[in-house]
Amino acid sequence: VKAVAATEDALQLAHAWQPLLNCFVSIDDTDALTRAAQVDAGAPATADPRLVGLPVAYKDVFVRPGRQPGAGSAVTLPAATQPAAVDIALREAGTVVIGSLHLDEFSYAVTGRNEILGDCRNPWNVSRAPGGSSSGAAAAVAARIVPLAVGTDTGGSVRIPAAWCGVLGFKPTYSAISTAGMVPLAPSHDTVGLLALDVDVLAAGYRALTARAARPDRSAPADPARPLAGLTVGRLTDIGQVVDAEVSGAMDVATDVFVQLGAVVDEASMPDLDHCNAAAAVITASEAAALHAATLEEQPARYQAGTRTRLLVGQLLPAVDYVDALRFRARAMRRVVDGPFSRLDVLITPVTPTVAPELATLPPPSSPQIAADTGSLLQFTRPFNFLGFPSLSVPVGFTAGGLPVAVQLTAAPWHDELLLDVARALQDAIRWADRRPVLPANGPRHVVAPVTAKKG
Amino acid sequence: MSDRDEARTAEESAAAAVAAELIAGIREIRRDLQISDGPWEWLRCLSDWKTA
Repeated sequence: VKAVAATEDALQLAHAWQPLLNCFVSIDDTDALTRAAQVDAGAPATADPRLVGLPVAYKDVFVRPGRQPGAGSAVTLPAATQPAAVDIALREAGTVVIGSLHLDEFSYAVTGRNEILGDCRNPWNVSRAPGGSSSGAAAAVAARIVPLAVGTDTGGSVRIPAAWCGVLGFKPTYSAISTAGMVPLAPSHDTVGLLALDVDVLAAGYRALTARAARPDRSAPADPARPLAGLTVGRLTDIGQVVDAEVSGAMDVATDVFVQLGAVVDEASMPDLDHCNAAAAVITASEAAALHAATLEEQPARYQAGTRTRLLVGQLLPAVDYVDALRFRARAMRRVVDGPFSRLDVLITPVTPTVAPELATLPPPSSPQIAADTGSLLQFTRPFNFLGFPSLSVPVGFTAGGLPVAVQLTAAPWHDELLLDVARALQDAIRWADRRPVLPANGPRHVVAPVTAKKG
Repeated sequence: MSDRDEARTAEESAAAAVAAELIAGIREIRRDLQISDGPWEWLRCLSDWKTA
């Protein structure tokens, strides 16, 4: 009864919020209820009880049994035969998939705007962008439709929408989770990520997908009131004038809480941040262009203009530049591990320079300008795709206007459990998830204006 | 010029501007590289740290 009841609740919420948020590409009532009944009839004995019967949803880039991902595009992709590794692992863990979620076309933008699907919207304020490209995943978790969603992150596509929608967004160490059966964007950076409201659920999902038992990176603290005692946290200071006061205020809040919880907080700088961004941009553009070369030639008009322009960028980059960007990667990784992370356990940075902007202020997917405008939004997230480090967007509160604000926590490679541990301490201290967006009692028709025929 | 041609030109010109910026960025990075820096060394680093 547990899985069926939870699934019915999730489906009801999904249908209630969908006209307002447009966060689902499909809501699969029949399949979900059938699956939930199977779980109730006999869940795997070895599964984590937090995942058994848990309603989940995936960004629409993962192959599911009987369902090919649309990847937010009108482009037709060759059909895949095997379900995604993520789907297999989460089903084995006893979760119930209720649907597939909205995204930017081919995961190649970070706003949640999409001409094919229509824009996705932010549950905290529907005129605001949810962020992307895992837009639907962040919106569905923020709206409390599902407690766990699966996204992908190539330059910030889990962490940015998580920050703008006020949920946890976790990009594990590169290659920790299999990308088999996923529509790729740039395989050297693509990382399966998770979005959730509760760190324990996030951790359970991560362990199910990595087939790992809980393996804490540090021993339990001696004083429960100071759970972060012994940790050194670095606050990135070189963020210049690019960050809004609300975002730097979130850094202040997180810093104060870290100190209260016993951590030592120090100033930190990141070597080569600009160079990491530059090299990452070349790798992503080159790999995406190569992966789409055939379909772009066959179906150019089916791509949104903004995506098409970005794929053209990749075609214009010399192979030598792509190889040099890859050559720089190990050098940059070593420099950061031997530099700041030789004395720091965790680095705090902004996720994006601003909180969720008005949707209308962002370039539409039809604009070639989107190719030039995305870089500044990715400046704090994309370097950690390039470096492969685990990185987590954690809410720390709300602006005076009621929009979520977040910080990004990053650790050295394979210290994923440490990040989860730190996020758990922050969650217990700040209790950011107690505040929730409200579905308007008078229904979505008062928010999304109906289409009316022109007079005359 | 048709609307479609004009749109295509706008896309190509936007793409060329972005590509030029990216190429300039790599030119700066290249000064930092040595002949021994291989393109797949980063995977070995990640693997070594996993077992460290």
